[in-house]
Amino acid sequence: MGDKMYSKEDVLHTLHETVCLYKGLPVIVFVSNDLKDDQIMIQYTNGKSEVINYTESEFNYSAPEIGYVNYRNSAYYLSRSPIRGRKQGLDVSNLITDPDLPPGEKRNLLKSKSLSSCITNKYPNFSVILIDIREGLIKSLAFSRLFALGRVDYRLIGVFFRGRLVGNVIKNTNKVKIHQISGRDIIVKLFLEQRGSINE
Amino acid sequence: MSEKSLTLANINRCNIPKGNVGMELEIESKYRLPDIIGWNIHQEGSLRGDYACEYVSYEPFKYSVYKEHLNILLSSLSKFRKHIDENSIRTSFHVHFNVCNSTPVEIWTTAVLYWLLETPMMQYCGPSRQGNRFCLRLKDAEAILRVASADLLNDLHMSRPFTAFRNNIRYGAMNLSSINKFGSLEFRGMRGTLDYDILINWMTGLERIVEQKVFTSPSEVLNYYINKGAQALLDKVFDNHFFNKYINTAKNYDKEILLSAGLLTDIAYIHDWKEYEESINKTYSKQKKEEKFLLDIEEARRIINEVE
Repeated sequence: MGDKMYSKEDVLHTLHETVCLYKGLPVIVFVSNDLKDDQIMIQYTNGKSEVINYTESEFNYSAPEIGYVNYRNSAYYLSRSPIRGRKQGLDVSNLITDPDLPPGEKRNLLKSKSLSSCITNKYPNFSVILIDIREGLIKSLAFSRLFALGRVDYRLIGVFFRGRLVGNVIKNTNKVKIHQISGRDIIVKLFLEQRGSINE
Repeated sequence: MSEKSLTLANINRCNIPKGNVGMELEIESKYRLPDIIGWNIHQEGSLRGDYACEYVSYEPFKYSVYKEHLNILLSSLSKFRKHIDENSIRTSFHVHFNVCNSTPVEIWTTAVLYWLLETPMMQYCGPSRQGNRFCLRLKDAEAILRVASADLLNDLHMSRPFTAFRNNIRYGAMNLSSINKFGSLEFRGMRGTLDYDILINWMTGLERIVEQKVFTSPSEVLNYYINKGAQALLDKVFDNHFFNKYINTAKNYDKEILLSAGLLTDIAYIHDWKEYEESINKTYSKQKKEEKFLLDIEEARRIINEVE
């Protein structure tokens, strides 16, 4: 997108302090009266900022794809709510996290490199996460937008699909067993697409 | 639907509008637009410009006549076309399908079938409608499934079906909050174009989904897809309709349908749908009887008072 809006006020209400994409990277947008009509300031997750025109073809304010985010050594599943509001980009008011995070923490998450990795679809390797969980370094972490691994109890490492326990890692292996649940075939297909192998 | 199954109108005790389809066309114009027979004009806060307005069908139209009414609207507006911004990101074309005569399970089946095919179908609505805050797809705003789950798990004695969909979460491409507000399922995906063929393709495609009788529950939809594949599903739903071919040309359509199916596992298997329907019938038939009993007592009291 990047289509022109009607007025500066529209730009402010629609984009200010929301997460949008610029050249494929997530940025936080700031709109102020100091900038010209089509100008916005964007801030990358590394802290760098620049002024651009929101009408540039490389600026995209359509809803970004989200899913699991690895934030502070845990996996959180993110989703957006279709609330009636003026914000086009992702922001605290339309973002839902599972487990739930307080608004202040959500604000931090929106500015984090973790969210950037989620939007750009960069996740740690399945095997690396498994080692870290087995060694007790972390409790849960995602290896794709849809799937995460997490410690269920001291014996079992679970496979989570969008926050739901759907399987487990077979002891002393890198193999996974998806439980006999409704819609299993669909979940297995998605798992295979993202991980490549499975133990039926 | 079995003979005794309660429809939305039975449950909500409302009158059923005679028509099938309501339409809303939002327009941003640089010129004052005319009144058109069969259509009301409203101001709409989300639009911009001096002569922005929304044409809303005067009443729900029957399937047999809605094309004619749409044609009247678009023909009347054609001479103003150069003044109208058809590419505005704010304008859209909304379709309401009357679901008062459907059971809750039939409505859920429609919803799941639409959501399954939504991403490739909505590519037809144009680039500005993808990820647009006024018509977010399931993949953009899947938190709507939390509301759907909550609604389906609600105690039926405490709240009627679809009451969890409050008015403030109506910016999905399919809006379920209109079910209890207007008795309709609203589709908000299409852009505000004045092109008759585009609008008719879209509406008749949605009509196929809403009026299909092949699938009787959400789990049946997903089971059919996973067992037979996307093409068989498209053949079943659309047959020789434009969308059967269109979806095949849509970008990554098979991956997108699979992803939607994954999201929909949240609700498609949440119930044994026959049991859910039975519990709805039981709850609301009983309530109806209790209310009738109270009304009868009231009437008896009134007669006694009159006699005395």
